Amino acid sequence: MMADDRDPILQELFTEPAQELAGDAFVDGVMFRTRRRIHWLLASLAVLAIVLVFSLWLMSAPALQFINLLTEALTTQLFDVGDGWMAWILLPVNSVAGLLVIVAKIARMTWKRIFGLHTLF
Amino acid sequence: MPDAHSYYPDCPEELIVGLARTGDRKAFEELVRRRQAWLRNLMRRLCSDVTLADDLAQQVFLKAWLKIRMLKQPRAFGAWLKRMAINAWLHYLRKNDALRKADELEDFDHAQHEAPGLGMDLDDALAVLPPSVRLCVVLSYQEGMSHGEVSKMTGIPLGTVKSHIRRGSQRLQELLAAYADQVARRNHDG
Repeated sequence: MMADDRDPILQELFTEPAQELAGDAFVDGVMFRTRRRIHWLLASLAVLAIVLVFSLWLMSAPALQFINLLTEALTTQLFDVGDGWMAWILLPVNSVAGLLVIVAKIARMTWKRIFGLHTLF
Repeated sequence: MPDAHSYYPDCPEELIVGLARTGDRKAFEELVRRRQAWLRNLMRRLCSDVTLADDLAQQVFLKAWLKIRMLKQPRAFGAWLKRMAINAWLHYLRKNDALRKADELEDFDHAQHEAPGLGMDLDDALAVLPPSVRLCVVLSYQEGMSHGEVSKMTGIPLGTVKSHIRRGSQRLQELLAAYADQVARRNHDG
């Protein structure tokens, strides 16, 4: 510690016994703040939960409708092969979803060929 | 049969910290009771304002309550609390833009020479120092931290810490010497 060149007289002043402070009111103040924070946190969580439930209730019908439309669009046949077993076998390639997958694959290969990067896709 | 909480004042701090980490509010209250005088005295030295010091100390304890689960080593509670206290003080200074102004030591030297010979005790003398200088001096002298530790804890470059402590100590010696002379004269006259 002497390497830090402390002045001994000042050091003596600083090391005098610290002021004894009555702590009860202070401790009560701190604990009151902790209680208030917990109440605030619980109230925030309750509000968040209510908002979440209300939003889910509000959005459930449109969300379900959107998912149905998306599924229908993705499974739309590119070439009409009827509704028989042939249609089911060809569905992975004869659909909008299949087309999107193929386009993504081609885009990835092209990107790699041009830029030589493997990080994208 | 006595309540388990009634044994808390006799328990070692590490155990109390461990209990507080599990969410035991009574254990945390015991920690506040044990550490409040030290923390308030430290903040009073830094702030030179009793009300502000107590308010900041309360904020530090509140933060400690919210983050105590993150404390890995219960035995490091004191150092952890001290770090939070210093951060709270630095945050307060930044918010009030005092640190930047305080670094202008030239102004501080001139200003103080304009009001010489006033009687001062240690707290008054510390209040004269700019906040960043006061912080370094208090951590070094009161908390017994090395210059390196002060630098690490405050984020102030080591060279600046050394310079702050050297110049702050010189200024304190001047101010307190005037105080000692005044007291001696008063005693002699009386």
